[in-house]
Amino acid sequence: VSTFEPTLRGRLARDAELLWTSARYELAKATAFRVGFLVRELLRGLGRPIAVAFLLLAVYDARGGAPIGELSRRAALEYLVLLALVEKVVAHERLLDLHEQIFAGYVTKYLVMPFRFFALPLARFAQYTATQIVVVVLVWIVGRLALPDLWPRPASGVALAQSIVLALLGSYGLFLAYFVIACLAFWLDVVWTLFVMTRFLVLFAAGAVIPAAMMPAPVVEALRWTLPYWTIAGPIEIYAGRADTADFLRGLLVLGASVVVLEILRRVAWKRGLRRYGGSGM
Amino acid sequence: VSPRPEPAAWKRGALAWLAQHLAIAREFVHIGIVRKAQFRLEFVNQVVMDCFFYATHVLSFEFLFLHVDTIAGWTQSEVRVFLGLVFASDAFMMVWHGQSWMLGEDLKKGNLDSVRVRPAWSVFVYMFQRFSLEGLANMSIALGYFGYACARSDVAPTLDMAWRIALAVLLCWWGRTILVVLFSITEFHFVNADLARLLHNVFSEVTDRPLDVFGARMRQFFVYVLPVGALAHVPASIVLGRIGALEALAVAAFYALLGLGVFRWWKRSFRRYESAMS
Repeated sequence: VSTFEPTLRGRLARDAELLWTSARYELAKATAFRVGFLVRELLRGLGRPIAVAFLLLAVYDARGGAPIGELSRRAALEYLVLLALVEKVVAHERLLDLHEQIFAGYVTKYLVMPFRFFALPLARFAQYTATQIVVVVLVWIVGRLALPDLWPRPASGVALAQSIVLALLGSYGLFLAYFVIACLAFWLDVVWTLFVMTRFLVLFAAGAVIPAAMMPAPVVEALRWTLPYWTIAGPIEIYAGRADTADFLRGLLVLGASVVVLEILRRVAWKRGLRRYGGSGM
Repeated sequence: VSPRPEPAAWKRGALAWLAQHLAIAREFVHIGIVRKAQFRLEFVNQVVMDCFFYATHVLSFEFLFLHVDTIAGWTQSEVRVFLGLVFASDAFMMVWHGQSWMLGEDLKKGNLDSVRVRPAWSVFVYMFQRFSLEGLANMSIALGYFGYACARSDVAPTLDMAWRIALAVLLCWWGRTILVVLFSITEFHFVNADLARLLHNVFSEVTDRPLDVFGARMRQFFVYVLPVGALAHVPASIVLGRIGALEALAVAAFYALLGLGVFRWWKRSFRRYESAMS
């Protein structure tokens, strides 16, 4: 082995160090404007669950309070509280600016640096996830103390662990999906519409627009084969005890397969995209 | 025959101002079409993107109406009329207000010098500069759905209904402009907070459903204080006859004055801009 070629362990150590440094840098960048940081991190993802709560209350009022499937009025409100918390953690398309860098021709500088480019967006994902987990834990504690009777509790410790695993794995899957879409800028130049389209689909399939339990059964069965469902709706159902370990395993299978496929797509899109890249920008 | 009297000075000034801004708008349209010639696939993508937006909204309410006959006093066919106006209002933003998404970035980078020194109304020059041809395609889809919804809800094609529909559509466009300008004012006061986008996202969740679901007091708040009701709730109420003709005209006059006040506030806030703010 040449002394100039780092060993596998050396490469991993270097990647880990780069990840840590980049994540700290990303945090410093995100917190540089404190008002914006606080507003974004506290309010992000709260608007929809609150508005949907009013809509669902009106629906239950029209039914005289009768449950819809397994979802009682109280269970629906708990669903929305959990939706707000899970949505905070899940990756979103604005984490990435790769497509803008491709469009402007700024990717060139990364190609001559002695590390893999993917470590940088990955660090941003890590920083975002860590920050959001802290925010969610704080919100959960405050909510539990302020509204002890109403605040949703996990069905069990296992259910809590299973829902966390699914939400984080699904979030990583969505992050990879957004990376692939950003790479399409090598061919399409402008991809923001694809991001927005994806967001509409993800939110609908994840049961974030209306709970999946209120959709027709065949639609729900179809959604249960998708990444968004097991990233948001699935973990909530497991947390609340309306889904069990068999559902968890199905979710794990769907998410695991999705992540593998998306990782392959990410590598192919990046490699082939670089072949087309001229470095001049638009 | 006595000579025709010259129009008053203020009238001449107003006409010249209108002509100048119409000429600017025509240039924006021209530039928007040229820009779209560069990104043809983007045209298709943007039309499809908005169709996804329409589909998820329509499906959500269609699914909810599998369980109930009315939601907060709105029947399924009335909600369809409401959604048609939500889409028309959204399409208006796509047609004209695309640049508003960039205000925070433009403030940080100091890109607004040209807007400040141009001899035209700064709100208009900034907010209307990015004309979108695909937005027009979406507008036709939105208005098509609105027409379908009106037909399904037995909205009779009478003269009375014609002015109600015209007023409702104009109001949902005007309301969109007011809100875009109102939310963007926050960017001048909290640089890099991304508040305009956040407020847009938060309140679009409110405006995408009839305001009656929020209860009487919050509905009044959203209609008269934070005027998100101007986007679809009030216009739909006008079309569906939920409010009378006089009240409809009074509300329209209120929104007209409110809009002028908001634009004035934006202009005043613009004075905070200092070329390089980050």
